[in-house]
Amino acid sequence: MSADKGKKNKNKKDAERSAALDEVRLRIREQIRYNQPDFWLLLAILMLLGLGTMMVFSASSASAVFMAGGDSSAYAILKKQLIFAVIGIITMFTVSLIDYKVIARFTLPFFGVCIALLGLVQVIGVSHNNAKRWLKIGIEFQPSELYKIAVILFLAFVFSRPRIAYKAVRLMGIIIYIIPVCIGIGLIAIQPHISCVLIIGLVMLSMMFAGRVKIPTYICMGIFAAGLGTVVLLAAHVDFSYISERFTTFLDPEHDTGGDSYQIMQSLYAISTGGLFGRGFGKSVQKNLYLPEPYNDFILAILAEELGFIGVALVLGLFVLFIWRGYKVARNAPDRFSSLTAFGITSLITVQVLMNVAVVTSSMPVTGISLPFFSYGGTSLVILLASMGILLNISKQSHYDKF
Amino acid sequence: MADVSRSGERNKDTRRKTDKSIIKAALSYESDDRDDKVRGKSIGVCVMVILLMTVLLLRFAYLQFLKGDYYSKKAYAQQNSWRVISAKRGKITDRNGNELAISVSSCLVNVNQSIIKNNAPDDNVQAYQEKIARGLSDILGVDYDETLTKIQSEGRYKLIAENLKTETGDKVKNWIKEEKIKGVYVDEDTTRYYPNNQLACHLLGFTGKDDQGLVCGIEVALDSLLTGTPGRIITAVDAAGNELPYDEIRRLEPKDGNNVVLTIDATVQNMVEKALEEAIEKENVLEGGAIVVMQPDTGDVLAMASYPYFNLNEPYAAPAGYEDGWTGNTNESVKILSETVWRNKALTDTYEPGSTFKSVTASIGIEEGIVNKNTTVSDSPLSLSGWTISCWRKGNDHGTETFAEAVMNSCNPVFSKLSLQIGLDTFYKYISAFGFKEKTGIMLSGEANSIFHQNPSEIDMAVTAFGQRVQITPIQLATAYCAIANGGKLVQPRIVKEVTDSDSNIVVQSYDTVVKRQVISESTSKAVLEMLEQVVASGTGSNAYVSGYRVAGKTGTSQTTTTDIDGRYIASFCGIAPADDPEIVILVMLDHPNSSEGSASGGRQAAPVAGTLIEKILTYMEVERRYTDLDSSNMMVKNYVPKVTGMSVSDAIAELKSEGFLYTLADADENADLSGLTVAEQIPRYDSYVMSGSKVVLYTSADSPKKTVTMPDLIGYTLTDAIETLTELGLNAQANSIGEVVSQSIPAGTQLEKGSVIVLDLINNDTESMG
Repeated sequence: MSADKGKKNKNKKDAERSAALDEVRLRIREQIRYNQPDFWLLLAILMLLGLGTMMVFSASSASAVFMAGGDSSAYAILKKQLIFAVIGIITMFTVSLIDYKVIARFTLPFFGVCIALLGLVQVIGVSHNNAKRWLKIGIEFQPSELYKIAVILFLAFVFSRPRIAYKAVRLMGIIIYIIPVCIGIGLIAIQPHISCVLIIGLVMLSMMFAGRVKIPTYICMGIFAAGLGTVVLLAAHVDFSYISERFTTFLDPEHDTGGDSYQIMQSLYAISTGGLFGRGFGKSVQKNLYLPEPYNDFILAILAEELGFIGVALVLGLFVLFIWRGYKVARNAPDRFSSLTAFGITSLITVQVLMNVAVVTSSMPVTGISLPFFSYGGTSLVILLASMGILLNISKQSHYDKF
Repeated sequence: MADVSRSGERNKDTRRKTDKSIIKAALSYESDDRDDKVRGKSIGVCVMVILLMTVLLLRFAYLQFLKGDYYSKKAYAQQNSWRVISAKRGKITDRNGNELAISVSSCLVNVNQSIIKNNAPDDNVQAYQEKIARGLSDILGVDYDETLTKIQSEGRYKLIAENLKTETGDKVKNWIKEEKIKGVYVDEDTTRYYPNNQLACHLLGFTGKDDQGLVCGIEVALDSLLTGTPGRIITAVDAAGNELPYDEIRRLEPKDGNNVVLTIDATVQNMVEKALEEAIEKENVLEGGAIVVMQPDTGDVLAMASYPYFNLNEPYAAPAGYEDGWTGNTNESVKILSETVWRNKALTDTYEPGSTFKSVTASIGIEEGIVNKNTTVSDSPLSLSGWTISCWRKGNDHGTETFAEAVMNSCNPVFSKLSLQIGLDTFYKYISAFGFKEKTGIMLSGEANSIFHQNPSEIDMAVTAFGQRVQITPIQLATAYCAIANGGKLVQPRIVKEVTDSDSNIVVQSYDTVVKRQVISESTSKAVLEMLEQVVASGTGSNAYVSGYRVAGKTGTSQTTTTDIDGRYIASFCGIAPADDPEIVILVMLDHPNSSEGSASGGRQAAPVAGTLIEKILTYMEVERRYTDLDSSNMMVKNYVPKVTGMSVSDAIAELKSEGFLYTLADADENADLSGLTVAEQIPRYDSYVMSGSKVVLYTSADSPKKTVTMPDLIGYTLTDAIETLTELGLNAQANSIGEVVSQSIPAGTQLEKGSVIVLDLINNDTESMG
C-alpha cells in the first residue's frame, strides 16, 4: 500500500515533473525562436541613425567650414559624429547582450551615481551659454542624459517590486519615488536646463500612468504643480525671464526677426523653402549661418529644406515605426520591470521627438530639445544608443502575443 | 510536444544538463507578477502618439505648401542678393530712321561690403577696405572718404559710381585682376543720350536717373514701351554675405526696350527750330513761340517746335534769366523749368487764335451755303448787345466787297455778321466738329483744354467768329487747318508712326492715321483754299508768298489778357501749301513780338517765317514747283546792271545787292581778305537790262582767264526749267513772256563767258496757271 502509495506518489511527481518540463520545453522553443531583437525596432533605429548622421554632415558642413576657414574641414563635425555613432552602435549591441535583469540589479546604485554626478556638475561643471550642464572627464558629457535613463530604471524598479509597488501606487506612496527623482530634477533645474526637467517630468508621468498609480495622486500632483507654477511665474521675471520671452516669440515669431525669434523664423524659412521634394541633399541655404547651429536642435528644419515634405514624412514615419515597436516591446515584455523600462525608454524618445518637431515648426515655444538620432552630440548619442540596447534586450526576451 | 520528447530522447545527457538551468530560468520569470493591465496602457499611448505625429506632419504640410510661398519669398530675399543689369532703353528715331534719342553703353561699379570684409588678407580688414577705397577713388575719381564709408557700411551691394565710360570700367576690371580684389564688381549699364541736344526737345522729353521718362514728351508717353526689362545676376549668399560655392550664379538677360519711330522729320524739325529762333531774335519776341508743321492728309506732325528750347542732355540747366544761384534738380528749380523751357507751347498753352480762326468761320458759311467767294458783303461796323465790332481799318473800312475780298482784307464785321447768319447752334456744332472742344489726342502728355464760352450769346459768337475771346491750343488750330486742306476730314495728329522690336526690328505696334470725322465737304475745302490763297497772293498774308509754290493761309494778330497793359499781342500765321495739292500745314505763332520795326502783326512777323519755311520744306520734300502767272510776273522784274568796275570789291557787292542782283567772284576767294581788291571787270556789263536776281560775275584782274561754258539747247523748255538750267551754268536769262522757249539769243554749242545774258522768246501755252 505504502509502496503502492509511494509508487502512486512517484508517478504523480513524475507526471508533475514531466508537465513542468513540457511547459519549459515550450518556453525553450519560444526562446529559441524569439531570442533575437525585434527586427522592425532594430531597422527603425539603424535607419534613423543613418539618416541622422547623414543630416548632421549636410547641416554642419557650412558651419564647419566657416569655423575652421578651409574646405578640408567640412567633415570635422561629421567625423566626430561618425566616431560616436560607431561607438554607440557597439555599445547598443553590447548592452543588448546583457540581460536586463542584471541591469535591474544595479538600478539603485546607478541612480545614486547619477545624482552624485549631477551634484558634481554644480561643483566642477563646465558652462556653455550661461548654463552649467557639462562634466569634463576626458570628454564633455551631460550627466542629465544619464539621469533620464536612471529615472526610468528607478521608476520601473519601484513599480515592479511587489512589496514596494502596492504602496507606491497609493496616494502617499508617491513619497517613495518622488523625493529621489526630485533631487535630480532640482539639480538639473538649477543648471538651468528646463527642457530636460520637462522631459523627465513627462516621462515620469507616463511611467506612473503605466505603473497603475491611482488617480488621487495625479490630482494632488496637479494641485501641487499649480501651486509651484504660480510661484515660478511670480519669480519668472527675475530668474526665468527667458521662458516668458520665448512665449512672446512663439505667439508672434515675425514680431522681431532679428532678435529672439530669429531662430524660429529661420527655421520656418528653411521648412517652407523645402516644398514637396526639397532643394536636394546638401543644398540647404539656411544652414549657411542663417540658422544657428543647424546640426543641433533645428536639424529637422534643414532636413525639411533639403529633402522636402517627403523627407519629413519619411523621418516621422520611421519614428512612428520605432514608437509602435517600442510600445509593443513594452506590452510583450516578460515581466513588469522590463515592461515598464521599455515603456519608459520609448516614452522618452517619443516626448523628445514630439517636442522637437513642435518647436521646429513653431507649434510650441522654443526649448532646447534635441531630436534623437539626428541632433549632433557625441555622448548623448552613445547614451541614447545604450538605452536602445536595453530596449533590444527586452525585445529579445519578449513573448510575442499580439499588439 | 511529441516533437520535443523525441529530440529529448536523442540527446539525453545534454538535455538533462540544460534542463536544469532552463527550469531555473523559467521559474524565475514566473516569480515576477505579470500584469497585463500595464501592457494595456501601451496601446492607448501608442495611438495617442501616432495621432500627435500626424498633427505635426500636417503642420509641416501647412508650412511647406500653404505658407510655402509666403516664407519662401522672405527666405529668398534674405538668401539671394543680386546686381541689376539694366536693359537698354529703346531708340527714338524720326520717320527716316535718324536717331533722336539713343542709349549708350556705360558701366557702373558696385561693392559687396561683406565679401570685402571676409576676404581681407591676414584678417586686416581695415587695410583691405582702405586699399580698395584708394584704388577706386584713383581710377574713378570718386571721393576717397565717401567710398571708404560706403565700403565699411553694413549690408550687401553699394553703388560706387555709375554712367562710367566702358574704358573706365575696363580699367577697374584690370585693377581687380591684377590686385586680386574681391567684392568689387563692374556691371553694364546704359545712359540715355540725345545726339542732337536741343532738337525736338519738347517732343522727345528726357529720362530721369533710373532711365524713366520724365515731365514731357515721348519718353513719358511711351515710357512703358521704351523701357525694357532689366536683367539680374543672382547669387545665393550665406548669412555672412559670401557667395555659396554650390549654387551656380544665375544670370537673367535683360530685354531691351522697343524702338519708337516718330512721324517727325529731323531735317524739317531742324529748319523749323532754326527759323523760329531767328524770328524770335529778329522780332524781339518776348514770350517765345511755337511752330507746328503737319501733313494734312495723314495728320503726321512733321515738326513741332516750342521756344525757348532746352538741351535734352542737360535738362536741368538754368533757363535764360535764372542763371544766378541756380541749384539744379530741386523742387523749386523743377517748377521754374516746367513753367519755362520744359513747356511745349504748341500743346500746353492756349491762346486766342485771332483772325486765323476766320478760315473756320468762312468754312462754316460756305458749307452751310450762306456765302460763296463772290457773295457781296459789307464791312460796315456791327452793333450788337451794346458792343460795336468794326474793321481793323477803323473809320476807313473796306465798304462793300466780295466775301473773298473780305477774307483777303480780314474784315471782322463781315465774319461776325456771317456767324449771326449761321446761327448759334449751327456755329458751335461746327466748332465742335472741327475739334476745338476736345483734345486732339496727340500722343504726348500735357495737352491743354480749350476755353470756349459755356453758354454763348450772340455777341460771344460774333467775336469768336474772328477768333477773339476763345482760347485754343496751336495743335488744335493746325489740325483744323488740316481738315480745311485735306478735303474736310478731321484727323488725329500723329506723332508716333510705329514701335519696333529692338532685336528684330519687327513692328510691334503701328499707329495708323485716325480720321475722326468729315467736317466740311471737299468743295467747301477747295473754295476756302482758293480764298486763303488770295490772302497770301495779294492780302494780309503776302509776306508768306513763295515763288513756285501756291500758298494759302491766314494771318492772325490776337490780343491776350495783358494786351492793354503791356501791348502783348500774339502774331500768328497758319498756312497751307501748295494750295492746289496741299502737302503741309504750317502754324507759326509768336507770342509778344516787340520789334522796334513795327507793331505786332501776324502778317508782318509770322507770315515771312512761314513763307521761308514753306519754301525750304517743300523743296526738301521735293515737291515740284509750278510757277503761276503771279510768279512769272514777279520773276520778270527787270533791272539795269549797275556799273561796279573800279569799285572796291566790298562796295561792288553792296551795290549789286542793293539793286537786287547776285554776284560771284570768279578769281578770288570770297572768304579771304578782300580789302584792297578792286573790280576790274564785270559780266554782264554795265547797263545790261536783265531780270533782277541775275548773277553778276566779277573779276578782280582784267588778265584773269574768263570762265566759259557751252550754251545748251533750251528750245521746248518751260521758263522755269530754262532759268534753272542757265542758272546752274552761271548764265543769266532774260525772258519776255512765260510758257515754252521757242528761241534763244545764242545758238546751242557756243562757248560763252559766265554771266552772259541769254534772251529767250517764249510762248505761253499754260492755261492752268490762270486762276
